[in-house]
Amino acid sequence: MIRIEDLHVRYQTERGEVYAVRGIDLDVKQGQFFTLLGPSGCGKTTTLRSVAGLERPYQGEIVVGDQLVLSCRRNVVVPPYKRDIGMVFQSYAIWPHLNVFENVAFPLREMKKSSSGDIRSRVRKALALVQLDGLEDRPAPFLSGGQQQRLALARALVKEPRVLLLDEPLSNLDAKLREETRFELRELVKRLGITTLYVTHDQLEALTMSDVIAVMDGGQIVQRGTPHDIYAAPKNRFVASFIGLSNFLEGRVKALGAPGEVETSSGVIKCLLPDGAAAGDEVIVVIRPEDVTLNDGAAGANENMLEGKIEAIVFMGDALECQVAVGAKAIRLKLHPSSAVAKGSTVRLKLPAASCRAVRA
Amino acid sequence: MNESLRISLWQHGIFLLVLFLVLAPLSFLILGSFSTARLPGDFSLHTMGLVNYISVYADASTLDLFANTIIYVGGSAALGIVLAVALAWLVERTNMPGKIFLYAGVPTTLAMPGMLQAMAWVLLFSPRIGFVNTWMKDIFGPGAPVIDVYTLEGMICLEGVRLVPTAFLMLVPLMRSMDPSLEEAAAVSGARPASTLRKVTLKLLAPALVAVMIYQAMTALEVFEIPGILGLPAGIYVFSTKIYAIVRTATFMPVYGQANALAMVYVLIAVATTVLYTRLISRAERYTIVTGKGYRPRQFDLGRWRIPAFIAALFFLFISIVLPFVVFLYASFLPYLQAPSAAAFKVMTLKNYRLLAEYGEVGSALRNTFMMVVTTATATVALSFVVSLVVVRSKFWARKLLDQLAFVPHAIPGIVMGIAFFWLFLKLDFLPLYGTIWAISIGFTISFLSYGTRSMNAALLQIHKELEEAAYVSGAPPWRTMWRVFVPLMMPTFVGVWIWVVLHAVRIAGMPLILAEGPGNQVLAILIWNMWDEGYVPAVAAIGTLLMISLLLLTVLVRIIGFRRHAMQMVGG
Repeated sequence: MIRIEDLHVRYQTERGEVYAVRGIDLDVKQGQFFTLLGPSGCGKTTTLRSVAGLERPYQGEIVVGDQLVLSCRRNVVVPPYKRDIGMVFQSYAIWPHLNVFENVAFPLREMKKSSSGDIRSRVRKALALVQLDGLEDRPAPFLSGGQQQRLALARALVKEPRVLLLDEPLSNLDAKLREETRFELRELVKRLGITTLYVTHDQLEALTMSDVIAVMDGGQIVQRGTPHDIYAAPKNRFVASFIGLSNFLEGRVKALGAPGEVETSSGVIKCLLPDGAAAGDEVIVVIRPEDVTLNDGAAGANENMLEGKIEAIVFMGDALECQVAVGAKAIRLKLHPSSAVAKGSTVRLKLPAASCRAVRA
Repeated sequence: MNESLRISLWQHGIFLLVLFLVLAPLSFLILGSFSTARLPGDFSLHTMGLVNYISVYADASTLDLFANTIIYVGGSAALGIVLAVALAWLVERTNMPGKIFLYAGVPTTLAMPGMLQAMAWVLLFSPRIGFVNTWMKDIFGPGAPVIDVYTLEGMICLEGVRLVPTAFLMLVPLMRSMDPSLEEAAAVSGARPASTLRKVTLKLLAPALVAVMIYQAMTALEVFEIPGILGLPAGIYVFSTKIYAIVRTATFMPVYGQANALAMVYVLIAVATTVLYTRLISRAERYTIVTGKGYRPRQFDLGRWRIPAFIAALFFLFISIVLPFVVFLYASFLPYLQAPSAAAFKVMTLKNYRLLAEYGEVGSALRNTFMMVVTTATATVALSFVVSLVVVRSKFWARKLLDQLAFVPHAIPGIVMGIAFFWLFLKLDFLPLYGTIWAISIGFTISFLSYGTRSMNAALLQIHKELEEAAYVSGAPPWRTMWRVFVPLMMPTFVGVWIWVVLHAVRIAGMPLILAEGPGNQVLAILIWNMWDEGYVPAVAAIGTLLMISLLLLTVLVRIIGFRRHAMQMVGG
C-alpha cells in the first residue's frame, strides 16, 4: 500500500547540509499498522513527511496505493493536496478560527465534489467514530487535549483516504490518557482496515500497537520485524538498548555451535551466535534482566551459571531490581518484590543460553 | 504549468518588486547628490561632480547644524527615556493607584500628531502671541519673563515628551517579565533595596535601555514636524529641516543636489545606528532576564508618595493629550487669535467650522487624503503580507535578503525618502506619477513596509507550521491554504497594521511636503502646514480639532482589536 524505495532526504541548515534520511526502503501492506520507531533526529518524521509530500527528497521513489507520488529519477512530485492521505500532526494542527464541524468539513470542501448534505452526514459519521458527536458547534480552541487529538483524527479520516499517517499523535497527552488512547486508536484503525504509518519514539507505543516495527537510527532502518521479534531478538546493541532494558557483556567467540560459546570478562557464556560468526569475532552478549534468575542448583546443559555479589537493590513497587557484580561487570536482574535478598550477599545467577544472544560488536 | 515553478515565479516577482521599490529611490538619491544639472529632470551621467558636497560641507553653518542636531537628538532621547522609565516603573513595580489610566492613556498619546502638538505649544509659549506669555505680561507687567518655545530647548522638551509612549511600550513588558528571584538573590546576599536597584535591577536593564535609547534617537533624528514648526521660524536648523529648507529655496536657486549631499550624512548615520541597534539587541538577548514565565514581581511600596506619583503621571497625560486638544478646541471657536479671557469667550463663533465646509481646498485635500491613506494602508498590508509569507514560510533562496531589504526604509527618514522619490519620479517621467497623490502613496508604502513586515513576520511566526501543512494534506492547494487558513488567522493583524498606517500616513508632513505639487496632490497635513504658515490659525485649529478627534477614535479602535488579537493568540495554534 505504501512502498518507499531508496529514499534520501537532506536539509540545508545554518551549519551546512544535514542528511536526515539516507536510503530507506519499506513496504507497508494493505491494512497493516506499521511503526517507525527511533530516537529524535533518526529521520522517522522526515520519512513520514516525505510520504505526505511535505518534504522534498532528492532521491528515491514513493508509491501510495497505486499512485506514484514521488520519483526523483522520473521527476514526478505530486503535491500533498493531490495525495490520497490523511494525517494527524504532533500538535494536532486544529485550526483555531473554525469550529469542530468546519475543521472536519475542510477536506471535503476542498474536494468540491460533495453536496452540503453529503458533507454534513460524512462529518457526523467521522465525529461519531471518534466519539465527538454533539460537539459540532464548539469552537475548536475550547476542546481538551484529548478531544483535539480525536478531532485531528476525525479530520484525517473524513475523506476516507487509503493511507493514514500519524506523527507522534499521543505525545502531547498526559500519561493516563495516552495509555487508554493507545488501544482505542489501534482498535479504530483496525476496524476501518486503513493502512497506517505511525511515527513514535515511545517503545511501549510501538510494541503495543504495531503489526510491524521498523527501528531507525541515523537516517536508516536498523531492524524491522514484529514487536515480539524486535524485543526478543534485537539485531545489535542500539536496538537492544533502545527497546527495553538489557545487560551487555562484551567478548570474543570461543566456540561455534548451538549454543555457541563466548569468552567474556565475566566468564564463558553459552549463547546464540549471530549468523556467519567465526571463532575470534568480537561480539556483545545481550541478556534481558527478566531472563536472569537466582538459582543455587547446578548448571543445566544449556544454562550459564555466574557467581556475583549483590551491589545494589532498588525497590520498584512491582519488582526488585538488583545489580550483581560479576567479575568486572554489573548485571541487572528483576526479582519478585517479596524475594529475600540482601545487599552484599553472594548469589548465583542462572542465564538460559536460549535467552542470551550475541550480536556483532 | 508545474506547481513549484509557478510558486518560484511568484517569489521572484515579489523579490524583484521590493528590490526595485527600495533600491531605485536610494540609487537616485545617491546619484542626485553628485548631479550638477540645474534640475533633477536634466540629470545625466555626464553632469556629475563633487560640487554639491563641497558647497554643503565647506559651509561654516554646517558645523552649527551638526551641533544643533546632536543637542536636539541627545536631549530629547534622554528626556524621553527618563520619563518613560519613571512611568513604566511606576505602573509595573510600585503600588501606585490608578494604573489602568496609564496603561490605556500612554499608548493613546501616540495618536496625537506631532505637528498639532507643536502648534499647540506655539499657541501657549510663543513670545509674541503665546497665551501663557500674554498672561504673564498681564500679571507681572512688560518686564515679565518670557518663555520662548522657538528654541532648541522647546524642541527638546516637546520631542522628549513625544518619545515617551513608544519607549513605555518597550519597557513595560521588560519590567514585567524580569525574574524577581534575581533581585531576591541580591537581597538575601545582604544588599539593601537601594543597592539592589543600582547593582542588579538597573544593570540587568542596561542593555535594553541603551537599545531603546538608540531607537529613540533614530526617531528624533527623523522627525520633521517638531523642528519644522518650532525651529524653522527662528532659523534653528537640524538635519531634517535643513534638507527641507534647501529643497524649498531650490525653487529659485538650482541646488537640489545639495539636499541630496546633506541627506547622505543622514543615510550614513541612520545606517550606522541601525547596525549598532541590531547588535545591541542581539546582545540584550543574551541577558535572559525575560524568561517568558508569568512573574508577579514584588511591588515597591510608595507609602505617602502614592498619590503625588499618580498626579505626576496624570500630568504627563494632561500635557500630551488634554492640553493640545483643549488649546485647539478653544482656538477653533475664535474669530481671531487671542489669549483666553472673559471677552474671548463672549465672541466665540462656529465660523471657522462653517468656513471649512465652504473652502474648496479643504474638500479636495480631504478627498486626496482619503484616497492616499486608503491606498497606502491597503498596499502596505498586501505587500507586507506577501513579503512576510515568503520570508517566514518559504525556502526561497533570498528570503533573508528580502527581509533586510524590507527593513532598510526604516532607517531612511521620510524627508530623505521624499527627495529620493522626487528624483525618481522626475527622472522616470514615462511614469506619470510626479505631482499625483499616487507618488505620495508609493513613498509612504515603502516607508511603512518595515513596520508592516515586522508585524506580519511576528504574527506569521505565531501560526504553527502544522496548521498550514494540515491544510495541504487535507487537499487544499497553496492559494486555497492562504485564503482559508492564513487570511482568517491573520485578519486581526491586517486590520491592526491597516489602521496603524492610516494613523501615520494622515499626519506625516515631511515626505508629502517634498512631493507636493499644487492642489492636485495636496493632502490634509500639507494643507494644515500651509495654512499655519500663512497665519490662518483659527482655521487650522478647527481642522486640527476634527483630526485629533478622529485619530483618537481610531486609536481606541486599534486597542480594541489589539485585545482581540491577544485573545486569539492565547487560544490559537
